[in-house]
Amino acid sequence: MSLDSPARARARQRRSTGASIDFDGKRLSLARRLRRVQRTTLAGRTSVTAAAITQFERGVRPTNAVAAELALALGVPVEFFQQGLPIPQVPTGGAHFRSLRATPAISRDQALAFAEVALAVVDVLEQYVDLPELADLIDPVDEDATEQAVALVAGRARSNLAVGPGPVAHVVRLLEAHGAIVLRLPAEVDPRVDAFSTDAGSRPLVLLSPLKNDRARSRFDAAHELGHLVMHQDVTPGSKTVERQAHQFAAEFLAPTDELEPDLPRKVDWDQLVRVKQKWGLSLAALTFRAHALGLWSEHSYRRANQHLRAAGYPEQGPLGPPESPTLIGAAVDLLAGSGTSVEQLARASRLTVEQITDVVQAGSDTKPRLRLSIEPG
Amino acid sequence: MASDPHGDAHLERVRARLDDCGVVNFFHGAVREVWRANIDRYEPDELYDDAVTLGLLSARNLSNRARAEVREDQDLALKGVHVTLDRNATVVHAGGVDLRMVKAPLRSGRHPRFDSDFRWTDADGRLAAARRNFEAYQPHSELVLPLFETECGDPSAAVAWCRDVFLVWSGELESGLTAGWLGLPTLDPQSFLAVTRVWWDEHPLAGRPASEPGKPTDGVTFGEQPVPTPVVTLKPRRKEENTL
Repeated sequence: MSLDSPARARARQRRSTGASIDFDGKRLSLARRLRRVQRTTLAGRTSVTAAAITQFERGVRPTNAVAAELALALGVPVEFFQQGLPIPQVPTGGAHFRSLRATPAISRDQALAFAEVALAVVDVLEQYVDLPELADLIDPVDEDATEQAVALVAGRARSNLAVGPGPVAHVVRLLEAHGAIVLRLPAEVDPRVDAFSTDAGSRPLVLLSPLKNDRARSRFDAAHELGHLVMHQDVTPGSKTVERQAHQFAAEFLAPTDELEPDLPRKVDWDQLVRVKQKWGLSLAALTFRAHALGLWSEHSYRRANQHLRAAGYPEQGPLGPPESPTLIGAAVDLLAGSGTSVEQLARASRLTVEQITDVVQAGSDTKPRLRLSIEPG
Repeated sequence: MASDPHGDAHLERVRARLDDCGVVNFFHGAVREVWRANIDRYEPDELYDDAVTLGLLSARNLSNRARAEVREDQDLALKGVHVTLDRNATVVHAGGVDLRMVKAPLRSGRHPRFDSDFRWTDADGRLAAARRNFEAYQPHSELVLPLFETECGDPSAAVAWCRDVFLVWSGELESGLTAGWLGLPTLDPQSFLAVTRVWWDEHPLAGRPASEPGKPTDGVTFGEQPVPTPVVTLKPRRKEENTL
């Protein structure tokens, strides 16, 4: 007779509850990453090892008892792990992060998990509603494309999106009107993630930082992500070149050089720059960069102007109002609610949780982010 | 500044010769690069730079640069251009004249006052140059008759003995643009017998429409443009279900 170790005893007890028949390992992975929990941490909160969790995420089925433990630890109903609507996968290499290197992997995973849930919500919504037709935007550029080549691509993108001469009215709304999904990242996501975009799902997805409380910056961020969606379909994300091209695209998309140039002052003139800011919806920092890049200002003037901007801090002079907000997902859910389809029904149809769908709807609505209060027992 | 017609004519001939041998072009390029490099490292707040440090450093850089580069430039050498050092100042010899560099005060930007911004008493080399020109040629006032009849000679011939020429240059702090003039220094209170502009940097975008400072920009603002509306509709199947 051999004595059982406590671990063996726990394992025997788990097996006695039977293997979970309906279990989707990808959903376990999704729930874990969404909660920003590493496998070792999750293992510490349950009776299984990190290696076992890896196996479960790869398709090995846990027992019912373990599935229940994992669900409890991750704050989802155990039914969430059952096969449901396929969740689109967004690999790290399939998303253009503004701050790829500055972002910890766990934060990036959390943001990608949110993107996957968002794409799943879009998929379920599209079973009920017709979202705007997807514009054909793809216009790839070489890695060594010149600034002029990128400017031409930005000009074509304006044309494809039916933007006439002059400033772009509302970048986020423009993207939504042409079939892209735009969301604000939830406040729980690490702010270092900043903005990112992906075309891994059925529709291009742009996620904007909720922390940049500035209209000009939100417009530039959205245009930057549009640049990735247009130019960088099959490009490895994260290189300086790719990010620089997206910046050049955004600048030219928002204010074509031949239209902006006559408006820019020939020397540092903050009153004039504020007027230009209010016309084009670009930040003073972006206009300063542009004036220098166009050769209007010397290095000296540019450096002085940046010193001035740094000293003045945020918000910049001549604020343009709150950041641009998305509306599309919120509008789709409102339409469905008006026709009798509730979020709970969407949750049942997709096997997502009501909370997950609500988070995505909040992120895609023109309302203030939901405030979550947690009250600690006294 | 009142100009002397003989001085003007002489200076135009000098200018043509300096143009021909490439000296004007050489200095235009050198001044532009020296000025841009120096205003880029001009740090009044952090390093307590001021107009004097900027001017001295730029002038010294230009002097050293001219001495080094003219010596190395085969094209200039073939045209007889060479440099010497006079009282620690670089003198370029070209087109039959001796050329010294003079930086205009920063406060005057690219619009120096040639009759009041310059005095030669602070630099022995410049003072000596102005004296040589003064001794070679002095314009006669038409209103003052000489007490005694003297043989002054042909003034257009006399002015040709003014072989000391100053290359005056200036730059703007904000734009980095520079300008250059040739001048015939003299000891007269107005400092120069004649001055002619030899370059004036144009803005890279010169000739293209530019807004005037303080003038509102034309056209509608982004907030006045029509905002596109994303259209969402129920799928037909759902519409039918709703009507049942």
